[in-house]
Amino acid sequence: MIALLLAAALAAEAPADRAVFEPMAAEMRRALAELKQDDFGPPYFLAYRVNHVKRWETAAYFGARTQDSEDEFRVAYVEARYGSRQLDNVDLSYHGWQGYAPEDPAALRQSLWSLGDGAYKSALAGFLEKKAKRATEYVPEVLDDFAVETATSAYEPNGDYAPDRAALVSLIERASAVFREFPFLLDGNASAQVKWARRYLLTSEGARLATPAEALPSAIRLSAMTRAADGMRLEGYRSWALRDLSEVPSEAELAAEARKLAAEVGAMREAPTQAPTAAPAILDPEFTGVMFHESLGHKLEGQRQRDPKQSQVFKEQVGKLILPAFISVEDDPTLESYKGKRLGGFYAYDSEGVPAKRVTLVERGVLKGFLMSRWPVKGFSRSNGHGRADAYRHPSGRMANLIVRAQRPVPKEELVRRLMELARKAGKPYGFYLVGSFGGENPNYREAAQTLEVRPRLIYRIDAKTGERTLVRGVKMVGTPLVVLNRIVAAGDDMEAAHGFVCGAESGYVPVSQIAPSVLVSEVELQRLPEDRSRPPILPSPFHAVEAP
Amino acid sequence: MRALLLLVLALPAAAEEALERAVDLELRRSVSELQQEGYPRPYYLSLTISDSELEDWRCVMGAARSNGRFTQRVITPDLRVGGYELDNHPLAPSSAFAGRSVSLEDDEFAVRYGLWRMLDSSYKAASADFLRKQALHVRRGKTEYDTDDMTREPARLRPLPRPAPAWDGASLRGLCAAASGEFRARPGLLHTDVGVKMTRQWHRLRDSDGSRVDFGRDLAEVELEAVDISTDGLRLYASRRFVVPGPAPLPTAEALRAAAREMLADLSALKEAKSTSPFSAPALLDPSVAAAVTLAIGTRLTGEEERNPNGAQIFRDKLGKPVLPEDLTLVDDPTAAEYDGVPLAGAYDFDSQGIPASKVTLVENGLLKGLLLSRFPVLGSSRSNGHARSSPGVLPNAFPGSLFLRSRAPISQSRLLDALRAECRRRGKPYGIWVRQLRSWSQQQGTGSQGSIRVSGMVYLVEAKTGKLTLVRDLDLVGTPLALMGNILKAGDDARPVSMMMGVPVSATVPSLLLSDAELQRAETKPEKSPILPPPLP
Repeated sequence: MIALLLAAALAAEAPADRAVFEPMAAEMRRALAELKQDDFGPPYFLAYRVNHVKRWETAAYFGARTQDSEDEFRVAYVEARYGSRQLDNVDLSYHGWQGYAPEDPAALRQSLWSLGDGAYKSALAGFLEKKAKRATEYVPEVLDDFAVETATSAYEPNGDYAPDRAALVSLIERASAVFREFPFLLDGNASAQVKWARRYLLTSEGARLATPAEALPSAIRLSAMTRAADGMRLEGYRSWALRDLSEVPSEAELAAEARKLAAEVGAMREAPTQAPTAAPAILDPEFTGVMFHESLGHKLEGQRQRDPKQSQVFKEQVGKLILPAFISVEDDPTLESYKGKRLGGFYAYDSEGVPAKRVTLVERGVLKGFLMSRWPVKGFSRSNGHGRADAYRHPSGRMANLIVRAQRPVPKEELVRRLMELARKAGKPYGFYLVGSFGGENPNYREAAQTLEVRPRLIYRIDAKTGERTLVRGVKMVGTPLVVLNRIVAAGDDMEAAHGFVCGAESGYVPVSQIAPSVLVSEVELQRLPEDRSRPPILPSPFHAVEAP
Repeated sequence: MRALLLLVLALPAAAEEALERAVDLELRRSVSELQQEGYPRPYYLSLTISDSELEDWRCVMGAARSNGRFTQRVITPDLRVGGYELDNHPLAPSSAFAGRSVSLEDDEFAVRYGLWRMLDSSYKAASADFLRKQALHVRRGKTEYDTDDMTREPARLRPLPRPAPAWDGASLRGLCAAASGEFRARPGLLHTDVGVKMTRQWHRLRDSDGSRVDFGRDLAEVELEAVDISTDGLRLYASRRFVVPGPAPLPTAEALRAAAREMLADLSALKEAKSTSPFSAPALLDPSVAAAVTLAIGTRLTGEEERNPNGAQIFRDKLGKPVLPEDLTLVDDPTAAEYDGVPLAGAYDFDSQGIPASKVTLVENGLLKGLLLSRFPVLGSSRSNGHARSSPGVLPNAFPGSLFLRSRAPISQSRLLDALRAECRRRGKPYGIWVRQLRSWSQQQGTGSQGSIRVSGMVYLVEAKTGKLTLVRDLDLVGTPLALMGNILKAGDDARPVSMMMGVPVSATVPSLLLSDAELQRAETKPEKSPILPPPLP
């Protein structure tokens, strides 16, 4: 059956793909049989990866194109393991050998030869060093170094790379020209990036995959910036992640969003600054998603449970209640879109060639699992298809599409009512409503304090008595992960996907999405943003305040 | 005001009228109105519109591995507050990006908006810098070499039509693949890489004095690298670089293949080369190596360097005094487009401040005669000599363009070798050094570090008694600039131009130089094992 499937996959390969696989296969055969040094045998596992990327970028400023660049490159990556699954050279700091992947088969093979040689030698040295460490260091739990997986063969064609450059330039020019209508804006930008990325993976176990790479997707972005009268920098953006160019938003949609964005940024100029405070808050779906990504998702990456330098907040917690019992969290890379929005974390196979799987991380508050690459963790000996990496790095367990679900969701109005009630009970004049996110941070190493911070795009203050909403500015949310997550007291019925996010960690930048509802948190702390003020422009802008000569 | 009106009338019917109008309007508005209460007004403003197009191919073993294209328009302001005597211009040259990327389209709104934003912050920064500089004067007093901060220059008009695109990607790719394909003859090489890069820059300088100067800079670069490994596990390097003014003088595919073959021959020779301990001895530098040493001197012969408080200022107060052996003359002449039929990449007609390039005699018969000057003057010279150079977005500083080192009594290469051996015998040294085929060089400049020069190339020992040549490896030539130049005994009759990139393209046309003494230093090496398997390429 497997042989039949393999044959079918091979038959589907395009000649261009075969021209990549053939040199890979030839060099791998030779390496496995003959790559040995001194008394050491060949590597027990080899993976060759080639990423081929084409991209075109353009940007416009207030209606006129400012940038045009295009490039194409191929990168080869070789992973070599020496020893055995039980003990090999790979540890958390492992990186394979990366270099050029020229387009000609013979030249590619030559490159793989050189990279393979380096990867093998460093695997030998790494294995011996690791073994040496074991001779003196106490290892509390002896775990395998490499999970057993069934080798997969897969062939998925990429879409065409044929950006309609003229049409896209014109589209982003027209979208950014909308910003001309708003004299208070200091910057008004739009950009388009069209990206085509294909990944080839061949392993000594027989995996052979040619698929679209989990590279950063094509994207359209709008951004606007102004300053308040007190000099504070105020900004906002909108972005669209696209799987292919048929999904480019229409000019009308872009223009409408540009106007909304400009109005949003404009409203912030009039908004009062918020003093630091602690109070109950409603977090909108995008903010909630980013908060879970930072405070929970990264800490559930499997490999972190093995590294004593990591915070290991959730190690030994499997089967225990870690979140409020009405909340469940999963990660599902097989989900292509949600409510019509394309998800950045969608893929069929991860960077180790393991089929993507939906994984339950937390079920009704109880920790159930981790984001697994082929790095085994105590109690989890298999990958669940979350081994992700960019073209240059060794894969590790990462998020894809993180989904936060809540039982007994309530309508938004009910959340607001309960927010006001919480504020009154706590003797606070206001509650807060945090909307959208510029991203967040939460260190994972023990040496750093585990402070979570998420910066909202918009902050509303809600009067505890009247429910009156006032836009405020100048603060972000801070907290510690366990405390904040466990102060969630209710969730909305407004599950929504936030896309266009890129997540950076040890294995590089990968596209991700979050799907979450609004949540009500009994208390969050708001802290001032770093000061970024400058004096307003001396002269009026050339077009809005003076007549053009 | 009348002058400003005239300026508008003088606007040519340019292809990009809206761009020109935007630049003109914001330039005028900024100079007349940009002022913060209690701070001085701009007294000078130039805006340089720089259009850059770039295409780049990289190949390995005959096949492309990457390529890229890039188009950008940057406007760089030079905004001065204060006056010619004292303004905000930095005392130490800065390579910080000061420009702004603006619309590629002929769009008045977008360009004006971008300029308004940029000039607002330039003015504020200039005001602050001016006050800080005044504060420095208050604290430290004037130095004895201090003078004005800006030369007075007449307004210049030099309209030039923008050249049409001049290369096609397929031919660049062809060159790249052809050159790198030659390395397939030696599949055991650890690493090879070939890059072919074309850059076209089109600059338009407009200033508040009424200057309107257009100038182009075309550049083509080819670099070839190959790395082999010796039997004792040391990496062996060979490289060739071609820097030419535009696509026309690019080497042919056949010439590049020949260069690659030469590199392979160098690597073969290096495999057989001996290792030896560092030593010092009389040395002969071939024209490529002598060019590096001459450029190191040239970069120190600038007005900026003599006034840089963090610089070594090695030629300050030396005007009229001997700085080189007396039969040597060093000039910088960017107006010479070629030498002996070879186009010079360091040539240009107008400098980055819109001043016409001119030939400058730096050293005449060993005596220091002049410095390379931008509009940042030195005591005793109140005008620029057209040597302000910069890449787009960076404020210009005086820098060499095209250096020529000549000797009154040149001798042939065989006589130089004889002289080398004679000098060795006189000094009781068994060997002399012959450094050929510059591979790379680096220098440190400034008082914080030693003003050293380090050159890697093909190093030969020349036996004093017999003249026998022995190639050695892992040794670099090191020295300090004044000592190296002061040690010159004789110069050859084999001057040939070498062009290279030092942020901007520069050329040096220099003969072989015989030095009474030079020191060799071990190159950085780390033994490694040869590849286990033979290469897959036959």
